Amino acid sequence: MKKILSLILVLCLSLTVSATAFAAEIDTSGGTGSTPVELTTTNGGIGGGEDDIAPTKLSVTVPTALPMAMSDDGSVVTATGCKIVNNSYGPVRVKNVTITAANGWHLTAYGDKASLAWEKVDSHKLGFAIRVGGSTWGITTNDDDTQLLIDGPVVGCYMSGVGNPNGNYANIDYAAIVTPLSSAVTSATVATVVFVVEWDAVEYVK
Amino acid sequence: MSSKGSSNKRNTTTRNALIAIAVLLVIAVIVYFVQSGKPGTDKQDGTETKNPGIIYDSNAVEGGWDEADLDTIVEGLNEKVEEGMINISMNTSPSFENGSAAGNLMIVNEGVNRYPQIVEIIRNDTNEQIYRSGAIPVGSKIETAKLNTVLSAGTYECTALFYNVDPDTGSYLGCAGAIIKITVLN
Repeated sequence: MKKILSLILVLCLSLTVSATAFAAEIDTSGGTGSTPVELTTTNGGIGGGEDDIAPTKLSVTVPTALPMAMSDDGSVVTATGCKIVNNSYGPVRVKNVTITAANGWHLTAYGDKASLAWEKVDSHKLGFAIRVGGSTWGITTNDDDTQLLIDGPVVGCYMSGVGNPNGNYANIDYAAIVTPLSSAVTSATVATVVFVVEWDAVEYVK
Repeated sequence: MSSKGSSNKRNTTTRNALIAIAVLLVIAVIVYFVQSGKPGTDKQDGTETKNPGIIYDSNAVEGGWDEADLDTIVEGLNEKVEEGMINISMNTSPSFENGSAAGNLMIVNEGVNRYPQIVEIIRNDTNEQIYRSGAIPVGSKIETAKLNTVLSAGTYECTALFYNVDPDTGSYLGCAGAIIKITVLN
């Protein structure tokens, strides 16, 4: 009986010692050890299980309508409350902005509305300009049906994560010139603008 | 005798004056009716014209093109912007076990949105459309799905285009995009 008890005690002692050995072994005065800090990305439920791993969620609110109103003297009024809002944890940026003329409409170079003074009535031409975050204006420069207004992130296109309510959005300003119309229109689609966003990452691995 | 003669003379003067006044009144009435019959006078509504040579339209009112209220216009435009806002949400690094397997796209049409969404994924190097979802109701998601094209192993930079869709007609109402990275493992 004493032998059995002795064996059990020895076993317990050995297990205790071996558990200590799993930690960093520091056997000299002033020695160092390392303890790995591990991270697993999970879904919103902080599941952490093998099937729950997920990257940071991209969630951005983007305008898909840029309405305008043109007065009888050709002045174009645009909305003032247009912006992109980043609801993601991580920062994002505007990758590019493109414009495509709608069916029956044509793009033309943006400038003073006087530049359209000789354009025929109902020629359905639109010159468009846009800027994100108060940056440089991106404008239509020719009559191609699709044009890149902003190509690559520029100053003003960067938005912080949602944690900074002062930096997680970018205001959008836009302006246009439109050739005269002989008849009234309401909510007519003259072009579509597409904003493309991406992570503001250190490096994008292609 | 002399006072009687003086009285007769006074009566005669008074009578002549009354006759003259009566004649003047008759002339005034004649002139009035003659003027009333001339062109330029609108007899129907009784209004008198400023220029008897022009017939003014009774529908004409004072003023020019209406000046629209700029603040009201901008307010209306801002409401349209708000209606067109779209929240785009998905896994930006979906991975696929192989080219024909389903991957964890995790496309979410968040409850804050107003319209169903259709999502298309375009390869940035070839502009090939490699995925197109059906309409995703508001508050719903696509967790996993197969691509339309079988891709070989590798990593592909793509653009995911999110379309707001009219629930009645199915037409696209607006679009926004996000850069994603698709990985095919085998």
